[in-house]
Amino acid sequence: MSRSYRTPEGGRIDRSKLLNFTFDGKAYTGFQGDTLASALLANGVKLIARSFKYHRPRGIMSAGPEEPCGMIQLREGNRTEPNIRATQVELFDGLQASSQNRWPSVKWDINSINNLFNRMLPAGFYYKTFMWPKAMWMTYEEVIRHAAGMGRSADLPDPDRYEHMHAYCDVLVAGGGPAGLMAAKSAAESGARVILVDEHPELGGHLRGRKSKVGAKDAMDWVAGVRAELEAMEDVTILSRTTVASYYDHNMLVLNEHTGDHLPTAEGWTPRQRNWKVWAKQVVLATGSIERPLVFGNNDVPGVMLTNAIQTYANQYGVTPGNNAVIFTNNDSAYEAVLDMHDAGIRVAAVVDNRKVETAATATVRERGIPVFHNHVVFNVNGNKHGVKSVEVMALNEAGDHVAGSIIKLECDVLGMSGGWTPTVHLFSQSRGKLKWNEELTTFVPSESFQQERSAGACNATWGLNGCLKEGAKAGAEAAKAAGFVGAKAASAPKSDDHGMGDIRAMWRVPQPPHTHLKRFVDFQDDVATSDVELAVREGYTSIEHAKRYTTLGMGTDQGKTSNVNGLAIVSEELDKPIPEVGHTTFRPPYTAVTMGAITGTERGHHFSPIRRSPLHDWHLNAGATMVPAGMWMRAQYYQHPGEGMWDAIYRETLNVRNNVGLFDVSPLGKIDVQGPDAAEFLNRCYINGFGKLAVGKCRYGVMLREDGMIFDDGTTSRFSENHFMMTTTTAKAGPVMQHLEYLLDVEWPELNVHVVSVTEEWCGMAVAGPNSRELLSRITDADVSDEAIPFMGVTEVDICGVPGRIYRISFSGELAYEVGVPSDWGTHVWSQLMEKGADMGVAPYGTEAMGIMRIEKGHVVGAELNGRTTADDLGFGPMTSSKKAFIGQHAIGKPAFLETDRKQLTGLKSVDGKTKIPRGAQIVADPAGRIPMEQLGEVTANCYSPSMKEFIGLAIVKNGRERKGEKLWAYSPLTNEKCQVELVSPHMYDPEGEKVRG
Amino acid sequence: MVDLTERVSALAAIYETGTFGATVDGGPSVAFSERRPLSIVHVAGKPDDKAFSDGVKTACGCDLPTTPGDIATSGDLSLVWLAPERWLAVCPNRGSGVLEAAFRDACGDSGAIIDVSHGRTVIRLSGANARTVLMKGAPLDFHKKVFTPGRAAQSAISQCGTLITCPAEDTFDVYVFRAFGQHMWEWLTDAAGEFGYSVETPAT
Amino acid sequence: MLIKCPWCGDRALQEFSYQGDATVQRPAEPAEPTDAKWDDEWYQFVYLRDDPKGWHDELWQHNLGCRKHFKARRNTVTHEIADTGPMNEELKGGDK
Ligand SMILES: [Zn+2]
Repeated sequence: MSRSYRTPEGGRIDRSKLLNFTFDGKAYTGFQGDTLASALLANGVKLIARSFKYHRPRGIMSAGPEEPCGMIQLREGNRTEPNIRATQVELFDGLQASSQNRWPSVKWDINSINNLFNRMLPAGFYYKTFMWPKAMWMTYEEVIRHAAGMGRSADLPDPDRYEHMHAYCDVLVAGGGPAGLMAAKSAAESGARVILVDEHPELGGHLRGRKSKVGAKDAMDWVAGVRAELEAMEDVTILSRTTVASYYDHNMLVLNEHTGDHLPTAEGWTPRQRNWKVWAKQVVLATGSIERPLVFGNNDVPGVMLTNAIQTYANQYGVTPGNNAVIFTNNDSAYEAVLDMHDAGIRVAAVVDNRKVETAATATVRERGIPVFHNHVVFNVNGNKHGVKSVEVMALNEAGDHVAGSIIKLECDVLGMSGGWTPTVHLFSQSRGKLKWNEELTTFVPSESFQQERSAGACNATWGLNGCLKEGAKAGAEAAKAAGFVGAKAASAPKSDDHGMGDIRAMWRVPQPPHTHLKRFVDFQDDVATSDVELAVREGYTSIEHAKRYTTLGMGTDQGKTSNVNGLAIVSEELDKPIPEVGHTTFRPPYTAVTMGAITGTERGHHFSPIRRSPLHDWHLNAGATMVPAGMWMRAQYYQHPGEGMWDAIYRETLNVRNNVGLFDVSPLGKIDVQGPDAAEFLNRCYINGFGKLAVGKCRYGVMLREDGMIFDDGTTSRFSENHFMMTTTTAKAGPVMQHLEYLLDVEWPELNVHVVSVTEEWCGMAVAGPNSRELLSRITDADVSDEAIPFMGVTEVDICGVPGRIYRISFSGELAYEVGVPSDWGTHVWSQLMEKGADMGVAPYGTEAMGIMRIEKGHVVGAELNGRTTADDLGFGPMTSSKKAFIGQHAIGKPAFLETDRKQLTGLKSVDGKTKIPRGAQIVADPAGRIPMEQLGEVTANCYSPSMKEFIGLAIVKNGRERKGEKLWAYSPLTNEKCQVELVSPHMYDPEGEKVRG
Repeated sequence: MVDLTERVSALAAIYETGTFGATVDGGPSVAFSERRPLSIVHVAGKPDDKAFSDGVKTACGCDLPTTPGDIATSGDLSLVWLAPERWLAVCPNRGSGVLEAAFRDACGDSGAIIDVSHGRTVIRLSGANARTVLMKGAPLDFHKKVFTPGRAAQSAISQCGTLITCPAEDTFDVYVFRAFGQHMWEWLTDAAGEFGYSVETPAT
Repeated sequence: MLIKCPWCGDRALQEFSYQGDATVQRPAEPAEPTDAKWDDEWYQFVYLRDDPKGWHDELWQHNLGCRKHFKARRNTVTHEIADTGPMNEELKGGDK
């Protein structure tokens, strides 16, 4: 039973390197140089997969990226990947693959019952049947998903490495076939920087699968020669195993390089794939062409293949996909393939040619004794999951629209079909090039370019090898010239074999005898047959884009590489409209699927997003801090001591500030240096309050609005000299505020002489807060730190622990507090000194949680309240607003909506019973027992237990909140089913008179 | 004048000299080192204001480079073009505030001068594959004939804004904000892994 | 996309950020805050933007490069960029 379909010799495989692999658990062998498809065919494996919708048996149809049938699940465990084309998988030792769309096995597939009831699954079936009743959709969907599985993705983290690359070049050549090679050679010889890209491991394009000659040389020897020449040039990059996936605007192309897919695993530093972004001045598209299937009864039986695929398997891989072939063609290109098959030892039972007239090519096969049936068609294939058994042939009537005469039954185990060739215009079309229908070649060809590109060779519908070589050379020279290499000349190529396609007799649907209803597939991957396309048109889906979506024609992962032209030609016949009027669907990137890992590149794991580290980061880690991300920054959340719970630590840190002194790392606060003669005027225009009169050596809290009057950001700004300020921003808004200031200076007020520079990272900032902070400061500087020398909101430049620093008398905690700033490289030095010198008084660091509690106690606002929907007045900054100057947002704040009395305003909250915590994210309502929906009076923005006040408190934004002090409402969270009766109080809950800060 | 207190690098916790990455024939082809300690001053002003351009020349000894991406040098100091009215002056550490004061004194009110010596981490890469490492990260043209010694460009590597300079053939300095220093170091050395890389002692 | 920064030259899209419509003008500061014309101008400026099909003068920032803002005449259908230039220069090209 098991016999080899390998030729005794020949092929571009290394027969000395035997590779073991398994398919559906069964062990096989192949050779180095095989694809999984060629190795399976060599082992006589015909059944590869079950089809998507009807679960029909499918085999290998092609030898390239166009494969619509032979889709498999590759590898196991954390590297498993579905929907991989067996034709694109390079065989490696230990490869494991399995078939997909089958249950329980590809041979006994329960769902193939769909096939018996296939009248139940016509085009639009999903839309029509399952949309009603709505509630049933979920059930249907589950059944369909199970039945029409598309393989399974790994549910473990991807262990492989992926990278990105960026490159620029003068000429990028897509495709390493004869045209592409000549283009690259011509461009490179002019001195241009060239990138040559080819998806296969070996250059040569279709030459790999043929026995052509270039001059006196075997074509593949000629290819090797050109490759060597190119590799010797400094400015040429050859990327094999690389697909030009996408062609974007401004000649930016994305390449997907398979650096490690051919290896058992890409170990160590070798990435599995690399995505390149290339900006090319000029592009030469030499992407070749794809053979079209013919559309006849049961044309999807395993063993029905594209003719060139059989030829390629024979020539390149030394594999004979069958012993006894019939070829069905409508053009001359199949005849060359027949000769090669015959040479490889395949018996060719007959050539069936739908054309009436014999051509020169006919004689070449007749000479070998192979019968040719002209004006005949194969209208049906008999076979099953074990492959083709025979084909049924009939003559055509005079008009060619019916079959006539008697049925000729030809025994065979493989059927080659050739419906002509479709230029691979995907990239051309992605680049916005316009396609034109060529009636003679029955295909769309590139017509008008939109970007800096040109097509050469088969993708430009130039079929003969001579033509491809010449056109490629010319295109390469033109591209180089256009890129500025004016002396570029087309390289010359030796004269070569020149087989063409001859005249083609288009036959979009092969007729079948009356009263027969055979499934004639158009799109094999998506299981779309002629009847589906016909039905779609009958039901009024007459636009090609609609018909595509309704039938799913061309919507598979193969993007309809083999089906598009056939599909739209059938639509045009049904509509009785010429093909150009029907048009074509849009080609979208990528050309072939790109794995998510390659798109992600290195941006995963701890490189998902950059981490910003404060100069004190390592100190925090050494002190046992729990770190928490805040934007890109990592901040110390709390410092847990042995035996302490999280909240114990947080309350301890809070009380230590309230009663003693604590240290907090404020380095992440945004800091912007503002300098220039107009600096004060600029700040006046940016903030609602004035900065013109701010004295040197003082700082001031400021609020910034957006143009629409909502608060943008807040912070303190210090003045160091007449023309020199430093603004601080919130951590989150540091970037946006910087951009805002730059915008204003560049665009709105270029007349202002002001320069802004981010100095966030120059300074290590440390809050020294608590009643003992002044005492502690006096121990680290010789400067006078008395209330007179550094009054509240004062700033001074002093020497601290032997380094130059700044002391700001500002407080976020509500205690007597300072902020010490020193250049970052000395941050740890000064912080350590503070810890050391304060040891006897029990100084302790505090984290963001303790800071959060203290700011709630004081009613200081942060991002939760500066949420883009609050005005200065809402948050109690109304009195700060200057009326003596213009500022950003000023025009808006007088608008009626800003003056409404029921605007939501900042208010403090206290838990009425003192025991119930205020639920976080809760709504403020009058009565939680009321009917839902109920009026939402406001929302809780912050909540905590205050260890200083020993009660549960919070902040909220409540309708007319300032006027409701003393009122009792409810904080209600239906989501968590928590509620708490709250009393509305002033947000300044701790030390409301601010005596401590000024102490 | 030297700083009495030693400056601590953003890379202090992870910096380790030696040879790392893949073992490759011919040894590592990328060498890393941190450039430190440096004096770095951001200089802004109008190049057509003579008081400013003369002041810059007095302060650092070279003319303002006005061609985008150019670097002027004078002794051990480089003046890098950042934007039409912005430059970065970089030299081995002259002591706290010294370089800033030199510019302030010479330019007076005509320029906006600010010390950013502690605000940048500068990573030097050199060797045959230094370019390739950078190509993995930044969308710039690093071709030998394009990104030549004496040129600089700002761009992004791994989402971080960077200034990349080419002080000499096959040698590049990557400037990032200090807080991104460790991330950038880890990213660049990881990208160099396949070539094998060495880490040298920090130097200016 | 490749965008020509007026200073740094052709650079990859990822170095830039789109900053809005370059044709809108921030109204002058109010002489009289209750002026209806002034009110309408601000309304237009803050809330209304055209969404033109075809050529459009846009504001971009080279935020991962020199950080300067500049104008670009871009075709919103084809993404062609006819011209870029500093804020104080007139753009050329396109069908404007
Ligand atoms: Zn720029």
